[in-house]
Amino acid sequence: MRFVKTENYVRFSQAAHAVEQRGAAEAGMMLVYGLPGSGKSHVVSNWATKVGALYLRANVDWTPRYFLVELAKVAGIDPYGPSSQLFSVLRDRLAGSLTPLVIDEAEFTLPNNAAVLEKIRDFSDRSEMTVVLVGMERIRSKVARYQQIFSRIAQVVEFKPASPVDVGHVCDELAEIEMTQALKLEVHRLSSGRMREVLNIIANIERIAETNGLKQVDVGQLEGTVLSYNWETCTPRTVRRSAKSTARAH
Amino acid sequence: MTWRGLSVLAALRDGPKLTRQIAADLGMSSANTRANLAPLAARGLVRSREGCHQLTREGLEVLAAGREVTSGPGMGKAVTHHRGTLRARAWRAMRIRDAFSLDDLMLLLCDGGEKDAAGNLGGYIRALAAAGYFAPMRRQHVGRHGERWRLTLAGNTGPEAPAWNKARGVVIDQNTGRTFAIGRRHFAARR
Repeated sequence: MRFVKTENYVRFSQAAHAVEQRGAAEAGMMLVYGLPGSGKSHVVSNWATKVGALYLRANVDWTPRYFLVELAKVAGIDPYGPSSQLFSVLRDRLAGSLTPLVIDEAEFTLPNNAAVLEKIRDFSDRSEMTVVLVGMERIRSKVARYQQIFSRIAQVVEFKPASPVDVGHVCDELAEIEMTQALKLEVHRLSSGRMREVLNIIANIERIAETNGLKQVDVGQLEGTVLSYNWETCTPRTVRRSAKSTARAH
Repeated sequence: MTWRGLSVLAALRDGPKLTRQIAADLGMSSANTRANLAPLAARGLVRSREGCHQLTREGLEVLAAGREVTSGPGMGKAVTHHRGTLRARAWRAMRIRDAFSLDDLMLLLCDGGEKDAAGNLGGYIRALAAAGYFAPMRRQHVGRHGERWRLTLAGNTGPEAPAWNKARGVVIDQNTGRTFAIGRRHFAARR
């Protein structure tokens, strides 16, 4: 079992490298956005563990002070004293360390005229830290309202739905049973390329295979089986043997 | 490199010195002196800053006891001093995630080039669990490595990965300085 390097991962890695090699020191922010379940946090976490980035998950009740306290905790610094003093201590300890900072669920930095995001921008400016903001699909337009922040964003990466090739690789890596090419394409269709849904569907297929003692599973064996559910339209998603998937399988 | 750890410590007995002063005292090249100083600093026996070196309290104790110092792995400090190891990355992942299983960590961290990643990480997780860093999650994953854990508030001691020395049966936490004797029996690799 191992990390699957998807097309989104490749684009993210290239952008992260470009930000680290940036010309203007203050343009050290990067924005990652995409649909829920598209694998943003997974890919960014993988990168964060490699480079030793500080990783924070923003909360709905974040304030500038709350952000500084959380940052101090993950950096192993005592989070005490007035905010101005804490800011100075953090800047002193982290400036020049080349340790990037990741803010997941970055939408929660935007309330109150983006007060928290302004604090993050200020911290990034003064410490020259690379900051990666991770959020949902609408965060780009919301951040764009704040030109003084948006001008600091050196790279923007949109996480797109996974391709059939990516879904196939994930099936190969994760499934403990063998899946035919046609079934992998069907997993891609049912999941609409959302990685979170892919994982749920693989778990369902494995359960069915275990119940029926199957080592290899094909579309034909699951035809008509509900493997997923579309909550928006309240309709089950069932496996079907489409002409397209059969043709692509060959 | 010729290893002369104890001689380098002895050269610092009278107070802080520059690299070239130590090299001149011992008749070594500066490169060889630096190569000797690095493991001593990694073990906490020497404190180095901008080319100037001095003994720490531990260094003085080792020197006073005349104990031989080897250049090999650092008695359970290896994870902390090698930040790119699988265990160091696993510790960062544990701090990032709310809950995790061995499968979760392998899926996040492994690239296929690691030797026995499941055995290595599985042992590390069980060692930290025995030392009290984790609380078990009630919801378990289906599969071979379905046990799920979460890092407790008290267990999240800081950015440095606790080091597990399997041979000595101890976990050493560089964030707090605490050492946990957990024994050796239960930590054979499970696959």
